[in-house]
Amino acid sequence: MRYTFSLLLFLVLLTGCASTPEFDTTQVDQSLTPQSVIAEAEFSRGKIVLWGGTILDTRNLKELTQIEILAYPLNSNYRPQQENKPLGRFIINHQGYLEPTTYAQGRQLTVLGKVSGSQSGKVGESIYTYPVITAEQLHLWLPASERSRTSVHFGVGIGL
Amino acid sequence: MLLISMALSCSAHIPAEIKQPIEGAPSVSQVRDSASVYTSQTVRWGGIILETENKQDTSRLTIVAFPLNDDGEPRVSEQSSGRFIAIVDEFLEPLVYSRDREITIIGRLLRTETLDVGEFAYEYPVIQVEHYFIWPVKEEPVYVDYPPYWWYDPWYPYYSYPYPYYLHHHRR
Repeated sequence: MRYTFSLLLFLVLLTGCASTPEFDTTQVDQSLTPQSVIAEAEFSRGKIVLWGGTILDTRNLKELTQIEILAYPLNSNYRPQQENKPLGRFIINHQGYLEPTTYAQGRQLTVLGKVSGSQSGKVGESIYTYPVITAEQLHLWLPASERSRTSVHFGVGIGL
Repeated sequence: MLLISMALSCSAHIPAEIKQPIEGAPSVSQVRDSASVYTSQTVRWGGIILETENKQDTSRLTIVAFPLNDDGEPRVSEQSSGRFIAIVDEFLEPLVYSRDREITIIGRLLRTETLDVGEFAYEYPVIQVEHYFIWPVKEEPVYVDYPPYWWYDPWYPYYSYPYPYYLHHHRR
């Protein structure tokens, strides 16, 4: 039984690749994080940021959709890296309707937008100040199970 | 570690009506933009069931629609084309026609109905269903993660651990 595992070195790995979104990052202020924006609210207003993270909640209001996100650092494809330490929460305001079952809790989202202010809310009983971003461009990432279902590539995988 | 995943696919018997596209039929978003133009048009739409309500003689499904593939099955990883309500003139078991199941229907546009989603006043096209098909539940692809035994065993190949460390670990 043991020895058969050396064969696994050559096993085929089926893995999905998602297309990389294109963001115009020329105006993005890379130094800003949700936490630093709250610390320097005056300085940050109107700045363009490219942030991403995990959706905590999506609320449909009369004319806009509010998405609450727990931010994580982005990788080079702008995908949030959930295995890293989170960078704080923020709120996205998107003009118009977004389908809440699509922008569902737990999905990953990357947003290019403008810092428009802050809003306070409660996390449990503690009062939390959220930076608010007006969305200009959103990219919703496919969950891992969908990625492997929709586009299948062959490769040999060895890793840790 | 090594990952192997097997994509399993199974075929189902799909009714011919469901497979057949309807020439010139509007999408959910087209109907939501200008419903009056399309009244009593026949459409073939599909998506994910959000809610099933059993009325006295009918069942009323709220569906989040997606574009359909060649078989008429919703491509749920794509962008939703909007919500609609489907009215079926029979009892549908709500435990079967349950949230997240995929369904494709053919029917006529009766009217639209405005209902709140959160605080947003959403205009739902309402379809009187003539044919419907609920898609079989798909098996999730299974990822099996085999840690190679020599990775953990500093005494390899001289000692044998009492436990089988080649046990599968399932990754989700």
